[in-house]
Amino acid sequence: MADPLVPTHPLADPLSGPPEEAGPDSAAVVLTAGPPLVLLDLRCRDRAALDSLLKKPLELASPPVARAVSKSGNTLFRLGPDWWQLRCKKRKPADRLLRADPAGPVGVTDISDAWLAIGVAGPRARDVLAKAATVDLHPDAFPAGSAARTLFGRVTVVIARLEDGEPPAFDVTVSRSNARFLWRWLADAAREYGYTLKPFSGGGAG
Amino acid sequence: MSGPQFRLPADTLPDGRIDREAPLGFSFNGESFTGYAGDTLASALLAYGAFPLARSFKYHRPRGIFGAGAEEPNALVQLETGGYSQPNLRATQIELYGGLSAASVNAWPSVDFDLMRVNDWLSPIFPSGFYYKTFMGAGVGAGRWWRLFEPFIRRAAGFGRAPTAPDPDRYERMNAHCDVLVVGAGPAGLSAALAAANRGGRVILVDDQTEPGGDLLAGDRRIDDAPAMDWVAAALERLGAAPDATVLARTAVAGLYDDNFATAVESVGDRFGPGAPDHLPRLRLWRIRARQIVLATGAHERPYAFANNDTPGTMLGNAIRHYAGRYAVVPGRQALLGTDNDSAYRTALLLARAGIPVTLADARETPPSALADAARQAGVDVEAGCAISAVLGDRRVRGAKIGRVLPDGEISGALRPVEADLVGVSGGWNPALHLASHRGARPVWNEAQTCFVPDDLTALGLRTAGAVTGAGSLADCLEQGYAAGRDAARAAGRTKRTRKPDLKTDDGAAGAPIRPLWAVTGRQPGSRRGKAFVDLQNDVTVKDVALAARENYRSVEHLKRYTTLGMGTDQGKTANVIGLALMGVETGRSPEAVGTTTFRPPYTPVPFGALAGRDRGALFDPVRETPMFDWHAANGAVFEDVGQWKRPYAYRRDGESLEAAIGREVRAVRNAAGVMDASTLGKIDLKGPDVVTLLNRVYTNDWETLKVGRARYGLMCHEDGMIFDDGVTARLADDHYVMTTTTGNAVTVLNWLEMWLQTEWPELRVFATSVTEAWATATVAGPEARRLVSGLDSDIDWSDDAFPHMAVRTGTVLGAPARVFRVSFSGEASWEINVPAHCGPALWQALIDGGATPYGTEAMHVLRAEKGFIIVGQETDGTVTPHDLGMGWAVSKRKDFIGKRSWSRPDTARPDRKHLVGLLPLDSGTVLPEGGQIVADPEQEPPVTMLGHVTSSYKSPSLDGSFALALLKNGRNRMGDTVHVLRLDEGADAARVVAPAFYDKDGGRMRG
Amino acid sequence: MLLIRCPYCGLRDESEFSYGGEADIARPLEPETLTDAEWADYVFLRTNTKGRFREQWVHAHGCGRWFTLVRDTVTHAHGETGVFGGVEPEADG
Repeated sequence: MADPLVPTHPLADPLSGPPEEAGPDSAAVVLTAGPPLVLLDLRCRDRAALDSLLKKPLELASPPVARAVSKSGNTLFRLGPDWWQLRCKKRKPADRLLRADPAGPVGVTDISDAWLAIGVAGPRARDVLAKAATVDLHPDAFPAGSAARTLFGRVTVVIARLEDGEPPAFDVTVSRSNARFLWRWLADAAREYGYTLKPFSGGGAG
Repeated sequence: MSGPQFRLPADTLPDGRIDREAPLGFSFNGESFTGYAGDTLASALLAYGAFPLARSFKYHRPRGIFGAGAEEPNALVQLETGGYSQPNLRATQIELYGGLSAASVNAWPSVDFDLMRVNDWLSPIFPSGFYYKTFMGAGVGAGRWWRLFEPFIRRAAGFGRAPTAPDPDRYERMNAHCDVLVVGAGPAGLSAALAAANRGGRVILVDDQTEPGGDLLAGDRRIDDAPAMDWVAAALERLGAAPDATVLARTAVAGLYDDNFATAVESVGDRFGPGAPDHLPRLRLWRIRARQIVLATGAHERPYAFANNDTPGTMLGNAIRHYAGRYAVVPGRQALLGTDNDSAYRTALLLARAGIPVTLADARETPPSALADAARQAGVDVEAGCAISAVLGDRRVRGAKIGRVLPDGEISGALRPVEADLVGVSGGWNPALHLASHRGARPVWNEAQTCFVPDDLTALGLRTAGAVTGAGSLADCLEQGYAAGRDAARAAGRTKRTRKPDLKTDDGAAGAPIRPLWAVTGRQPGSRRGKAFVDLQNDVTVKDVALAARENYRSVEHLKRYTTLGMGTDQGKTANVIGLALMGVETGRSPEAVGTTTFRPPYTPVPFGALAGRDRGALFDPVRETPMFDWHAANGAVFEDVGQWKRPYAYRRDGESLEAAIGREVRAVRNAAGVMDASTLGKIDLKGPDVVTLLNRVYTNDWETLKVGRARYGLMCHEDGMIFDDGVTARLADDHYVMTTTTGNAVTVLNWLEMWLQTEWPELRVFATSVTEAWATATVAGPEARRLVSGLDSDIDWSDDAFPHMAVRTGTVLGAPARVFRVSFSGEASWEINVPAHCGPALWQALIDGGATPYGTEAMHVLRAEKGFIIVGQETDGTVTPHDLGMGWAVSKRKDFIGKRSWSRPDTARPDRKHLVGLLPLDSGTVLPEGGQIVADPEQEPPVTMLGHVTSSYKSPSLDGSFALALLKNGRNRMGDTVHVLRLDEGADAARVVAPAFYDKDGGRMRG
Repeated sequence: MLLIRCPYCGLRDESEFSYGGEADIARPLEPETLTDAEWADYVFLRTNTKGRFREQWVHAHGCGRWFTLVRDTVTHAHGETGVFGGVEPEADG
């Protein structure tokens, strides 16, 4: 019997689907399936309460809406005025936050398995995303630290540019059920330029 | 076809934009031709002469190439064959590639011998409005005549053929953003793009030609004492060096929309033909969001009308200039140019330089002396005060007649024959204001230029520059372009200062104003074939416009619909203004008083492939897969689409029919244990001290009494009292609940809660978070289910006492955190086990290994219907209340909630509304059609009284017969009655009305 | 395709939003005291304004917040926005 605690991953190797390299330049776009996430949904109407909850364990403070901040491998995405997602490097701080009082000022919910991250990098990464994203991903409009929840074609995603760097590398958070569709979509959209796929290699498919 | 004898020998003129080192073979109507890289299909064909390559729409008269760009009315072709084929492309806009294959459209059996030409000779019986008058009138039998003749008329009409094979190509889409979008890369557009880019703006410059340059591509203009194309090259170099300027050639803007949103179609692989590299899309649809837009879309030359002005070899004067200067093609040996303005003089001079004898008939009594002198010096025969009266020849121009023309277009005095095989006509310029019109610009009549120009749209972030404003001189175009680009960039927040370039142009001495000429009339030679066309594509003549005026179709909209003026694929780019000016002449009004029809997108036709873009095949719509998808796929699952979810409908074993599989799955749940993937059910975590208040307001039943560890079924209604969702909500802790929703409404319900929480009840302390995908859900049901779940590695006590029906427990299953609901949709004892999504496959495998039979959505539907459990969206349709379903038990009388008040409205309170009932067909082998209408008497004379409809209908393995659920008028008072369900084809089936529960009516099985 | 100004996220494409109809339709506090006509007015009847119209939208695929927006139903020109529940945009947002 499969060990249930070994995470299964919809984008794990080997993945039946598009070829792992195609198009004129396999370095033009690199798609990387991110590892399983430790992800919390945070809802709060009082930003100070959230900041004080996160300050001690993670040294994070809320960024403005549609921005993200990272510290020591933990990233806080501000999706809305009263809505955050916290991506943790390790399980432990997440578990501690989950013990928060459900009647308290911050609603903390574990949504780790609901989402996956896909890295979209390479000199043509922006062009591939612009085939469906209506937000402006130009470096002037979307500098490092940007994180927009938006509609990507007909899939709701969070597109983020977490780090500086040229050409920009993007991080796309997509719901688990849509992950394979988006993966195939991105590969197909990148064919024009050329791509390399890097499925997740740390666990079984599922 | 003899050789390309009309290609000018090298060195006659500068070679323009063709590359004589790169010959390209192609075929047209099955014959072989050779052109050059840089040619369009039109220029390459014209190198062989101005032969007929099309037949006209109505009269099937021979037609040749008339223009040089998007305005082309005649030269429509079918490009390539099979799935790649595209109908009705303008030969003037098809970039030549090696191996291209194209054919004429609208000719039967061939362009050289077209049987439908009979329409031309019969034209006295086919006047405008013929079809309306003959077939659509109120006269006796008109409709019958139309049915008889329609197939013939449909075949005779229309242009190319839609491809019948699937389109093998890829089409891409691209969203782009910029400060300034410049449409048109002629001198004004280039100047605007440079000015905007110099100010640091993000600029996109779009042009539908194969390369930027616009009018300068004709090669006969000079800027700063050098060929103007040198300036174009330098401008492109500077744009290339700018940090954020994109130049898109071969890209036609199709439409402008609100908030400066533009769509444009770029030819990518298209220009290589079917042999394009595999990775390239054929077309790319650009969706451009611009802060500011500069329209430098230029102008289309218009002709004036005269007899037989459609004869191949008759062209727009400026098109002749472009073919000569850009492609080194002059499709004639002797040219006659007719004009009412200055622009024909450049054409005349260029032709003269190419050694072509030219007669220039200038309608103005006194042509501007500087121009006329220069022309005469170059050997051009300038005839002042003259206009073309008629062209001679049928399949090709064999000569023409000119005469002295009066201000109203009447010829006075004798006609003079002119030897010519090429006729160019220049009747003035129509600014290409289509895109401005998309944004609501009103066309304003400019009397001096006798053209419509767009009014001011600066407030919308839209500016115009160049010929689209009516500007005539190159200097004005450059100047206006610079100003528009600068102002647009400034309005977009780019404040860097720039210096205006000082450019010297070759505009020369001032010319003379236009003397507007719309149609040359008077007695014409050859009564039968003397048609003077206004709209070449739709075969609308000067007489047709006069007829419309006589029959009082005087408004421009009536004129258009009565005569079909401007209704072709070219949308009347060369025809509209003449048509409405002639209507003005007929009715004593100015063109402005006649008005214009509204231009709507697209500017030029857009292939469906470009619109569909990436939304086709496997990527047509997003697909959602549950964590257990791979197991289902590997084990015979037949999937059904539930929204975007792929859900197993049934699992088919080798050799098993779908029906047998469903029956087997139902029996397994009734007799042993089944397991279903219920991961798609919506799950919403609700946290906060006021959750119970929220639940009380959105659900119809009472939530105060729900204890921790218990679950309750609830119905949600809209404010109109009608059900819109149902589901079970469980209380996990004092201030923590989890709500489940139907699969299809998971997002809708969350949005519904958020709407009330945000807009109406912000005081409620509740946080709602979707956890649908965080959990994988396996529902284990059946008499053996307890034995099966008890065998799982888990810390949960599964006994009835510890874990009764409608309880919820948290714990671990297989070492993973789990939420388990003891709820039943099948009527059997049933547990919904939720584990983190990544553990779903392991849980599923463990249950299968324990002996559970996997069952799909159809077995689930049968099981729940046997119990009389409803499915929202199947038993309900937005007109059904809980009371209609006999679910008053799920309604609280003690509190207010959304929808309650509507139930006391008279119609909702009626006792004889449609009620949920069961139906048992009298023939137990008959499965009633879902959706079938219920009647009391199938023999009743129409209109038949409808009593309701069948909502669910199945064959039941458990009941040994078929059964159905239905909504039936006054159903609860019809128990035992026999009703009739109409079949979808004919006939009806009798059924007995029973209570909507067929199996284990007291619910003993699911409780224990 | 409109460009809509979300009070929290700034200008975003219309496709990210869902329309919520006329704004300022408050749910009656005591529905049972209303006449049928008054209740029908609340549930079913809306003004069909030509010109400036205050309506509500939700940034469904963005920040998830409802807000009000004044839009000219003739020209689509949009004007001031408003928020619900006192959730004001932050100065640094």
